Amino acid sequence: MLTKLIYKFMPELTAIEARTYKIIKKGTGNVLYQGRYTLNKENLLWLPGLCLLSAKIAKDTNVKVVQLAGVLHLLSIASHLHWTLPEKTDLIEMKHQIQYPILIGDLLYSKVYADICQHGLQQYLTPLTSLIGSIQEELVLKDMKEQNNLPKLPHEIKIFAMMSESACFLGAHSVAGNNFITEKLREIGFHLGQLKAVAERGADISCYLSSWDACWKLLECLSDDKDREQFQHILQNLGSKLGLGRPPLLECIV
Amino acid sequence: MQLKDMFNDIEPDLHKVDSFLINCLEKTSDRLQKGYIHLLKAGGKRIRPAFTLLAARYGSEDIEKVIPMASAFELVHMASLVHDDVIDHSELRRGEPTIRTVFGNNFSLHLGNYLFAKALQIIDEYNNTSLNNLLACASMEMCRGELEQIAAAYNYKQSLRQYFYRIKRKTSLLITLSCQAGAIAAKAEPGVVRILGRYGHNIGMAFQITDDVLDYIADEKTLGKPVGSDIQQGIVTLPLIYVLNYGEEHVRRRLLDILEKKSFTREDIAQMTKLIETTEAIPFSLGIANKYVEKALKQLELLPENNTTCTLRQIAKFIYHRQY
Repeated sequence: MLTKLIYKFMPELTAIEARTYKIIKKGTGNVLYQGRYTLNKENLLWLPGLCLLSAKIAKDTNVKVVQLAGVLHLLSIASHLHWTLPEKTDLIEMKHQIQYPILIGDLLYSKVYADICQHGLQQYLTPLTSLIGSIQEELVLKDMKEQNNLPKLPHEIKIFAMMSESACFLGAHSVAGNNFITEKLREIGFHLGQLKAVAERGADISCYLSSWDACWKLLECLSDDKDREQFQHILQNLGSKLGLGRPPLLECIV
Repeated sequence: MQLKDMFNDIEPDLHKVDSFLINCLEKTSDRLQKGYIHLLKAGGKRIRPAFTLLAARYGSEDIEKVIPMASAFELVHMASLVHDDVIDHSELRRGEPTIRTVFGNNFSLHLGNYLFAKALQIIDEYNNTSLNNLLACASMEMCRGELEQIAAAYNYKQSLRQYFYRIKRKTSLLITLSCQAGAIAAKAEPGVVRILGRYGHNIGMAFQITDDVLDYIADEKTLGKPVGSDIQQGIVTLPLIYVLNYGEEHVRRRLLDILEKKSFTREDIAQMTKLIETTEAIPFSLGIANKYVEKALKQLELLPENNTTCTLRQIAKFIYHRQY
């Protein structure tokens, strides 16, 4: 699904990945490379990819956008490492199951903060910290639901929606400020994030059909060009996984 | 005399910090609030906000403006404690069950992250780039210090240099920053900010060293947690480093025999403590702590002589003599 997107921004995303893993290696030695931590590298490029694509659609990418995308990459990995911990573990496994995930995640969250300060992105500190706070709240609620055998998926889906929404918004806002397209891209990000989470977690799509329709409608607000095609390609891919086709009305228009 | 007695001058301001802290999470979910209240009720010495408030008295700004900043540093400290308790598998803190004991590892992780994010939002409102940069660097170094500590667990070949590197990051940095930030937020002279930063650094180092000594010699009731908890987790601190590097051969051998086990019974801890107490390790460690206290006191000579400077002087001396 992300192949085309990654290909489009190959130089930027490669540089971002290299930098992030250098940061982790410098801070932690070879801990992350001991094969204990499954990092789906492609998935972790989702947020930075959305950020870059949104910036491209809103105006163009620049150094600031790439720096923001880098921050989002750090955030992706930190959230992944801090997603869940075992509640019980033996002392031998403590290091790799609990200690390192917590500390490496903490290091990456701190690096998010450090990069924002270093790159002059302070205007995005509050939105990003609000996002981090909201993610933690949803994770707490998710865990509570899980303990009580209640559905936890809505919280997971909401987290991906919020993260994707932020990625698209920040990318667009950093180049074009607050305007109509920035707002539409924010909404696209939200719905795309929901749909991606639904597809990956095998949730019931019937509760999220409005996101599917909304995404296609929102794409019509964007200029019909190769950049918009990227979003369409992602949507089509998600559609195949979810067993959904393009909404009929839009098929007629196209 | 207790530490809180030294804060009499700033007690009204510390109460305001407490109120600010209580209201910090009022807009969040009930579940998070419940955990947060448990954390607040466990108390704490509020050393970092106290330093921020005291440092602010050297500036010209109204102390009210520094209350959120002081609260933010307490939030950062609380966040690190919550995570530390998961990392260390601690069941008690200050005599009370830890967040992880009551609510679990995942809740502790998420609460810690939430508190850190909240602290950053509060500090962002000051719109001060240098403050943000300082805290950003400090928080990264604190994480590195913790990672170093984990990586060095059960490594009994550590040097004094490695130990000081670790405790600087683990403890001293945040205290340094608390002092600096209070002065910066109150628009104190840059020279005063630097002096307070150096004071904070030396106090922080002394504080951690005495903490590490107390882990061997204090009683559980006073400490609020089991004695020997550091060595139980493989954390090698100054008294142990001293014995393993400079102690008598037969003491070193006996210690190493026990240390080889990696998991220790109460009797093992008691035996190790007794062995360490037979050496010069404790006086040596307290001697180092005292040197840092002296350095801190020397910095205070560069500050105007007033009530605040007196309080900082008393705190420095207390840290050396404390029993908890």
